[in-house]
Amino acid sequence: MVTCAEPVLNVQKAVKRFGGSDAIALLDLEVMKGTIHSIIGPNGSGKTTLINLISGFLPPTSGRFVFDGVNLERLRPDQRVALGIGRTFQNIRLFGDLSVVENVMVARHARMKTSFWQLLFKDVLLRMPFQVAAQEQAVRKKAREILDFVGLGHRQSANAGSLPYGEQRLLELAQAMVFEPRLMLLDEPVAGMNPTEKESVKVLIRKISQMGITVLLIEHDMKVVMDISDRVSVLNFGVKIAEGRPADIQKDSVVIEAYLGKEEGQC
Amino acid sequence: MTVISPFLNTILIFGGINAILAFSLYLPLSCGQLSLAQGGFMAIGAYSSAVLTKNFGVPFGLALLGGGSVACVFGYLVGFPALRIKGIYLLLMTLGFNEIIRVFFLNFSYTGGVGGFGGIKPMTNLYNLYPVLFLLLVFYYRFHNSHLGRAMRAINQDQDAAEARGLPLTRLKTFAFGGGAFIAGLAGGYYAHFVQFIESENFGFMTSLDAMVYVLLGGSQIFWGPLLGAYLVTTLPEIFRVFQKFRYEIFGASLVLMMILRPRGLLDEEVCSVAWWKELILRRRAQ
Ligand SMILES: Nc1ncnc2c1ncn2[C@@H]1O[C@H](COP(=O)(O)OP(=O)(O)O)[C@@H](O)[C@H]1O
Ligand SMILES: [Mg+2]
Repeated sequence: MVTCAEPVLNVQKAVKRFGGSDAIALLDLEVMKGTIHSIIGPNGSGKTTLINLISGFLPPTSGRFVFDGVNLERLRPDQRVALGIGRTFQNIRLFGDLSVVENVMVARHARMKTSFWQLLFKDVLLRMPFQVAAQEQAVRKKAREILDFVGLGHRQSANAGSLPYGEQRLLELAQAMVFEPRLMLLDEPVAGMNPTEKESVKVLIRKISQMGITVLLIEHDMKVVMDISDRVSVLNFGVKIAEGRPADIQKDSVVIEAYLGKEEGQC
Repeated sequence: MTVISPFLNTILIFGGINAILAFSLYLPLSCGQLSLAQGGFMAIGAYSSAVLTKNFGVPFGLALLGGGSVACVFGYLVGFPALRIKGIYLLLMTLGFNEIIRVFFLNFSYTGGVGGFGGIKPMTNLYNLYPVLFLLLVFYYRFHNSHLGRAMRAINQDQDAAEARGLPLTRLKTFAFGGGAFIAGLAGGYYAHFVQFIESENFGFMTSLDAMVYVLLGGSQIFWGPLLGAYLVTTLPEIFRVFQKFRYEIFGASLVLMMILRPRGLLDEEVCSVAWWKELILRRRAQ
């Protein structure tokens, strides 16, 4: 866990309004390169909304989002992926009718070195019979590597929709990292998992971090958060009420009042 | 030249043209865009290619490509506004486009207006139609298993998730519309050079609806579906000819029955897999 004093993600005065209320209210956030930065907060405090804003899934009402010196305003979700921002969904969004390995292969798109027209002409229209498309094998190999990494190597040809819950979460993790991102946004990656599964995901996230990928982690499980985070920010009603090292956060009276104490044992 | 009867020849030609039309709808449908504009694209291809061969003496092959290309341009033009529309609204928009094209040719005096456009040379035959149909089949087979095909299937299932996984929606979805229009244009070219006389009523709402019936009946999940659907719809009314007056009633009833028995179309990926047939045969043997 190398902690360089250089932010890879900079969120300035972000606001997201739904109807009359602000899910995110003037939020500032700096995520340092190479860290595991966790966001905690009660349900409805705006954590998922924050990830949706960073990944471009939702447009912000106002505010500035800078990733590695690039202003994200006006960039579509797929362009942000190309920049190196990967994400998972709290409410899993896999391509259920595609196989496991296809789910991962399709998510490799951002790193494919050929343009759309090359893909169309070289791989589909003008390919010789029995010749395998140039990219196909490389992409499949990469997808298998990642599936082995997350522990789904034995599930490659199963339909994604038929996987048990925990494995679906792992598959999303594989999709979010197969294109070699620099920042991964993980929205409750261990929700609904049993303790063994949780432990292995914790190890996975550490490994991901050691690869040099910055992780922004949203998690309810305090043990997971306190064990692996370099830094923790606490959200409440879309506002950051505290930030610091895990040990400090655990002691912070504001946090305990807003979240830790009250929510003990809940989700 | 032909060793088969003119009747069978006609059935095979119309079956082939309808199969191409069905394929033209399958491409946009494979990424979740249901279009009722395929008749319009077919009209554009039919009129353009007929003008090219009749008025400019362009060879048939080039005229087909020309007709397809003009239709393709319009496909892209429709594809962009279609990006923002889903479901029933997309149907209405494409239907509107179909009407615009129909009424345009009804009034466009250069191609005969209300009187229709006749004197087109009979160029379409089994030997230039079926190789192209075969190539389309090869194209769809390859496409289905290619990176782009996977991307289309992903978009079909959850387009927002697909975008969050890095897929460029605009590129892929407009290509599906433009490519589908190109193929519909080819169908139009073959049609015009078979019937030799075209009028805008040939390509109205009903033609677009036919295309949809082919695909939905045959199955929209895999490319064999539209092919089967087109041939069934083309040949069944002829086969049911023995029932004389009632043949369309029986045809309609059989469509209803098939949709009840297999609501997702006759063919799907499962039925088209080797494993499914193996299992079926094994089960038969075990009995
Ligand atoms: N797409 C949406 N439309 C309307 N309201 C939303 C939407 N997404 C989230 N919200 C609201 O924003 C608030 C924050 O939600 P969310 O970001 O999901 O919280 P968390 O992930 O911290 O539980 C909630 O009050 C929620 O109802
Ligand atoms: Mg949430």
